Amino acid sequence: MNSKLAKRGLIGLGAAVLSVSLAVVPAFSASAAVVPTVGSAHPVYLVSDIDGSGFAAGTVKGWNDSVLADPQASDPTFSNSFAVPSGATAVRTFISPRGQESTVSAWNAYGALGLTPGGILLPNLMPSANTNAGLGTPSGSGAVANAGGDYSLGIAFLNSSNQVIEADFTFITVTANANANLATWTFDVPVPATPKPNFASYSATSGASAVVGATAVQFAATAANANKSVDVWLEGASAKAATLSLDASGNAIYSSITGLAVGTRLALTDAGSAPAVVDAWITATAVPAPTTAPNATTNPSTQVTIPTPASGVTTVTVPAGAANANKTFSVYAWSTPTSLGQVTTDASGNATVDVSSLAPGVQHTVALTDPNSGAYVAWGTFTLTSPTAGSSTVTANVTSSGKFALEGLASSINLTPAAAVSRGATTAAVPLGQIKVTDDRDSLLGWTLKADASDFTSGTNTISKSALGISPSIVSGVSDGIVLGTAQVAGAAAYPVATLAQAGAGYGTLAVGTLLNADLTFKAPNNAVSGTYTSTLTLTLASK
Amino acid sequence: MKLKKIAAFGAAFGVAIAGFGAATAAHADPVSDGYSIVGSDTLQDAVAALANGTTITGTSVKVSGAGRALASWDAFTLGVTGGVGSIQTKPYGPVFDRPNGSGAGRSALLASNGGTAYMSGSTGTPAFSYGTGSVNVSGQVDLARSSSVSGTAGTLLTYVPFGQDAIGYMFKVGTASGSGNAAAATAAIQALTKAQLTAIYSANNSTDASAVLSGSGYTLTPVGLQSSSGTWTTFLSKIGVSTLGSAVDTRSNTAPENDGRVLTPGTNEVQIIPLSIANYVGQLNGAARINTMSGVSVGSIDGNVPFTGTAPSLVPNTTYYNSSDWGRTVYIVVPTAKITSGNGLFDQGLYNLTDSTSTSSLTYWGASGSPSTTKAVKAKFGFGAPTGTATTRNG
Repeated sequence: MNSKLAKRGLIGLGAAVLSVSLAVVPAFSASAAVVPTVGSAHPVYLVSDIDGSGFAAGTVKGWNDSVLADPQASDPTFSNSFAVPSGATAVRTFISPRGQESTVSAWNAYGALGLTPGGILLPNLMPSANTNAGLGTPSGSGAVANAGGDYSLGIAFLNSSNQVIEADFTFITVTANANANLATWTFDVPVPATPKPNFASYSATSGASAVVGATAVQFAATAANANKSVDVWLEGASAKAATLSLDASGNAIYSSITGLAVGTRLALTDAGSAPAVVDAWITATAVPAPTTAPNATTNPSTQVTIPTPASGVTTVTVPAGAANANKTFSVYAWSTPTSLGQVTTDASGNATVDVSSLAPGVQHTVALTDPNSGAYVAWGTFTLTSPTAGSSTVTANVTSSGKFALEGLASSINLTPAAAVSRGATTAAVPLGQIKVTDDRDSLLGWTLKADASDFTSGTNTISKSALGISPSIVSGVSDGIVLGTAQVAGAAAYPVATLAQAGAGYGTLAVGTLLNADLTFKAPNNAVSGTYTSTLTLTLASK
Repeated sequence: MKLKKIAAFGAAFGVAIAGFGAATAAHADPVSDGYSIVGSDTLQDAVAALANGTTITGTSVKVSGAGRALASWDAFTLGVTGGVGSIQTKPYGPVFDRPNGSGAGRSALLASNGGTAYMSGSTGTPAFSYGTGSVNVSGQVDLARSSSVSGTAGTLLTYVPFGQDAIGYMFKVGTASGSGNAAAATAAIQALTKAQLTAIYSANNSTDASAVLSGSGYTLTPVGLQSSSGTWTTFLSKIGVSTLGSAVDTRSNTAPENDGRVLTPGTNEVQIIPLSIANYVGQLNGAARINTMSGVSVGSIDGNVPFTGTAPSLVPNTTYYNSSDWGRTVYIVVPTAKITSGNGLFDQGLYNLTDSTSTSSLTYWGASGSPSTTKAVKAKFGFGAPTGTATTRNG
């Protein structure tokens, strides 16, 4: 009684395991006629004895059909065998109730196989070939065919005590037929173990990292994985991204991996393992920016001499050496760490770095770093020479016509009448001088006063025209219908100015005209070289 | 309770093992709950291997018919020259003469099914008697092995090709003495022409029979096979001998086929006897259960060697096997009604065992290259793809 109860308990447990398997592989169970096999020592696939191809799930076989058992999904060379476990003295084919595969006395039927020491190659599982009736119910292959239902079909290794020491089988479902020869059956097809790691188990591995650089990824998988070959899996990917050979420190460098970005979670697994054996869980990180500037004590080997830039020059040349020719590096500057983007060296290994954003008059440190590792490649120090003063004049060309005219524009305007402006400073407003717009045409089409300017030049030095601010105003005369344009701010002005002032259709200025003026300002850029700069401001009166 | 169950199980298993062992050891006088096959010596080793289960190809191959095992009785008791005796094939069945060749196998098959006249339906009187004492063998024989197609036209029996064999001859050279030159005799006997074989088996005196050995100091004794042998009748047909020469040592028509031990040449004597090349290859390759070919060689005919390679990897020579002179297709014989769907006598198991499209039938020779097929086993036993096709006869 006690043992009977215990047996029932076991059966209940088996059923629970079944339901778990179903949940894990819902896609499979949806297409299969038979629930996934539970308890087989090895997966058992059924393959054709014509060409070794695997029979697909749902294939309906006859009771007298030859089907070969194979530990692999297909076997075109007819060479996959089931290894003979130690202690085996006999091997048989069998049909048993599910869960009773290892209980010989519960078998429904069985057949003989030869115990070939090299492995049991392609045993034929034709159900009717189990010509010996077992003691299970129903007894005999034919009786199973008559009764139908769920069974296991496979091979079993027995020891000298006639006990099963290994059973390799597949679940089958038999469609009953009173004529056993007409009975049919379907079978389970094992789901191959997937090499894909389960990111639900993600747990960052201490000391492991993957640094995503510009052109390469640096892996550190810890010394525990030294000299291993590992597959790289990105979270969500259906296939491995790469295979790495880790060095004696567990490190490897790999060229860029598509889809791997900073923040991507990834797993390193034993190469080819299925199911995946995870060696390290890693979240990819960016190449760290340097914090403290290199100096002659900490980084003597990469220190180079940067030629002092000429006064007003806003670039420096970092000689990284021929070994670093034609390479792209990240650029950082100090005192406070500042990224200056990336730079590519020329054929001599010289990098020209734009340092216009750095203040003049103080010493800076600039360094080229490896874009993948962040390591210093070359660094040095320099000081920008500060420009001191500047002045400028504006020259304007004037157009005019009879009834429709623009008159009175000064030929020359000095924007710095009192003193030169310092770099970075803005001049006080200087009036353009009164100009007169006359539109006494009959048609009253309306007009637009436009402005344009050229860049300021001084010898070969240039200051952008955006430095010229202009703010129009009405002085006197007929102002009906006249609308002034938006003032342009020095240092951020945009030329040409489409509308400095305008009048809509239906408005005129009479013969007396309208006097306009504008305040001009000039902002000297931070990097301006001293000198007297000249630009030309052009006003154009156009009819609408 | 528990103890009783184990006891019952052990008993059942013991019975089953005995039944399984039945087919492997003919001397144990087993019986078969399944199907029985008797007849030709030529196929007996290959058929016995398929019936009993063999791993000669590296995988387990064992035929069965719709859930019933097949048991094969040899033409001769294994290892016993001239051992015929009697057999019992089915539980509670009669003991009857062991069918010792193709013809005897077919006769036993016909008798088991009521005889030709009964099977054809022209008479209601079954003739189940077979062999010595006219034993009633009704239902005792299900299939027959045959190395030839008999001549009686009709449809009662169907001959399904089993494989391709070839007829040849083997020889053994006796010890040289005096003027005898063994090397010269061997050189002369190991390559004959069809015409020379015809002359040898037509010779009425030793001088004529020994003409091919002229100058070697040796005499040649042609030996005949037991009269039920398909190999013997086929050989005589192929060399065109209808009246056996008196120089032939007939051994009282009892010499078993494919047994090298029947050649017992004396001093300065060479003996030759026809044989199945497939059987020889099977013995030399170690596929057969016994190798009787020590000291025996096989000759080439008309310049064609019957096989190539060296044992245990002898390979049949297709040119020789498929030649109209020496090749022959060997068959499994089954009552036609029993493999005819819809016939009242239809037997699914016999149909399956002789279904040439099934990789697990006795007669498969299809495209599969799998070692699990019966074809792969038959190749190991020296058979090739049959050139003959399924044929019906009455006997």
